[in-house]
Amino acid sequence: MKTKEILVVVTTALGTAVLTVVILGGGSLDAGNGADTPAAKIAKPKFVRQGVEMTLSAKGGATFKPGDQPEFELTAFNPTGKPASVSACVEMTAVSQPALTSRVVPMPATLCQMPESFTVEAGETKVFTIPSKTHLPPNQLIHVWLKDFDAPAKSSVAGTKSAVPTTKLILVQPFNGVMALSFSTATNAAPAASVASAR
Amino acid sequence: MRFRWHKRAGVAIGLAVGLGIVAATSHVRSTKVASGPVLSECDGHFRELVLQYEPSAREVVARTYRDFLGALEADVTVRVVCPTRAAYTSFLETAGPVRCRLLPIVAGHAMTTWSRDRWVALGPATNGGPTTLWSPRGESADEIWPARAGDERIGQDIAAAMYPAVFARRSDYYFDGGDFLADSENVFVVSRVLPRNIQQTVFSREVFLAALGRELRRHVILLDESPDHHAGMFMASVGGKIMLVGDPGLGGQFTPADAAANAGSGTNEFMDLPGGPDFSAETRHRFDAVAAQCAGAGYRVVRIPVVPARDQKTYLTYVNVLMDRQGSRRIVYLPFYRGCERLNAAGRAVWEKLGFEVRPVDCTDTYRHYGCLHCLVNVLERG
Repeated sequence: MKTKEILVVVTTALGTAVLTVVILGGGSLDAGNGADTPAAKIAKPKFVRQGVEMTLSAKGGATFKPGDQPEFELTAFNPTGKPASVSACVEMTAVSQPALTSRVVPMPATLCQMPESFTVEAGETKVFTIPSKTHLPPNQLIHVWLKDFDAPAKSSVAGTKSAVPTTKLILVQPFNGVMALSFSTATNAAPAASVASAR
Repeated sequence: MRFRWHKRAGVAIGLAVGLGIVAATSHVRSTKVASGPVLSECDGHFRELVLQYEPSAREVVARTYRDFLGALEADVTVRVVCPTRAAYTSFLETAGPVRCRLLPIVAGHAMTTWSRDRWVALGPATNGGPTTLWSPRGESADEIWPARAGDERIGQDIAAAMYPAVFARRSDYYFDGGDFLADSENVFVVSRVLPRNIQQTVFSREVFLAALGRELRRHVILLDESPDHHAGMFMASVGGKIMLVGDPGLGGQFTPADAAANAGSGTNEFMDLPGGPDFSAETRHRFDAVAAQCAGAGYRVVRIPVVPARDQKTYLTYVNVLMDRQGSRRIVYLPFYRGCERLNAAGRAVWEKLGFEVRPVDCTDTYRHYGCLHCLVNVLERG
């Protein structure tokens, strides 16, 4: 075979092989990249009581920074065929950055609890503005919960290692509620209040 | 039509080569490999373990690593995930002389020193198949904790270094590895996992628990009530349907009288426990609830001393262990804490009475950081 003929074969083979890999291969060849993408999260966490579906958002889509007093919008929709009376609580908690050597985040501190009681007619949607009246601390991870309002508000202290609790600590994660919003007041973090990355 | 057959030959060769490359790498690109059940905590002999070493945590882990690694047999391999090569050199200096085989995995990014919570090992689906590292969807507080953001990548780092023996799979759910406690039959799940996922990643508790069962391939038992901590801090399944569950009441019996008497006032700092020991009725109830639920699930429950602090995160615990089986021998690597000799002896006695050979591991410098031996070490493979 002449040199030129060999070159034609090799060049054609190379080009074909590359095209084949590009077209059929695709994706990453990194063995450990965990390229499978998790399923989409629930866009709007719902808290449901007596059939009434409640969701929470930052009022006006606001973003929050340290020192702000956040306002939230509670939307309650009653898809049932009868009126429903509901009591719910919006609770805001804060977690500080743990020490470098810490295994877990410290216990969150409750910043405020905002109870609401209302009646929603069958098929009706109501929207409430919930002012927190609480200044956001800096450099914290803030979670906003929708939960039952049947437990009295308890004070708690920031769960730092050095803090000696003066009152009884409570389990701040309310298993009878949902995390509706999550955002950070760290200076280098994305400030937009988003649907909860429930951590 | 010059070179026509040459081009055709080239195309044919190119297609063969290209298809061969695609076929050879298809299982590399696909992480949806079949996986077996979650590894049991109490069955089998150690084959491969994983540590994470961050030099800033050297003073926290040095004694623990030296005691644990120094006691491991020569047929055990320990993969040490480090942020840099220099960190691995620091690790070797910290670990001291060992018989086990140490191998580095250089991650190239920030991380913490806590290995247990980063992934759950799912055994091979078939003999000789790969192990799957099932990693959580995301890490808690990574928005404000850069090292924890780095932890999120550890499963992938290990799989990349150990391909094709190990694959990584990202879960749809939020959890810490320490939220699960598995044996050969069941996997216990702490209830704190629910609010991280209900109405976030799934719509209901039932769907979530069913999904966990499918993924972990074990019967899932959700703890209705429990201390707000990782399972390995307050319970340990030791095999033969026996469950050790911490008992603060027992812990109080081996705590100095003044520490126990002042517990609850917040005025004493026994063993640097924030707020002092917590022997309150509410805390004891949470531990008792776990014991009751395990008994209801058919386990023989054995209580063991534990001293939790009032911050609900710092524990002097004797169930945060690693268990190894070598033939008929059952070995437990058991934490001890300098300054708590009576408590240490009481914890050790429980394990010895169950027939375990105890290898003590100094965890005095780690417990103040909310974890112990079991939290620092993850198990990749058992024989």
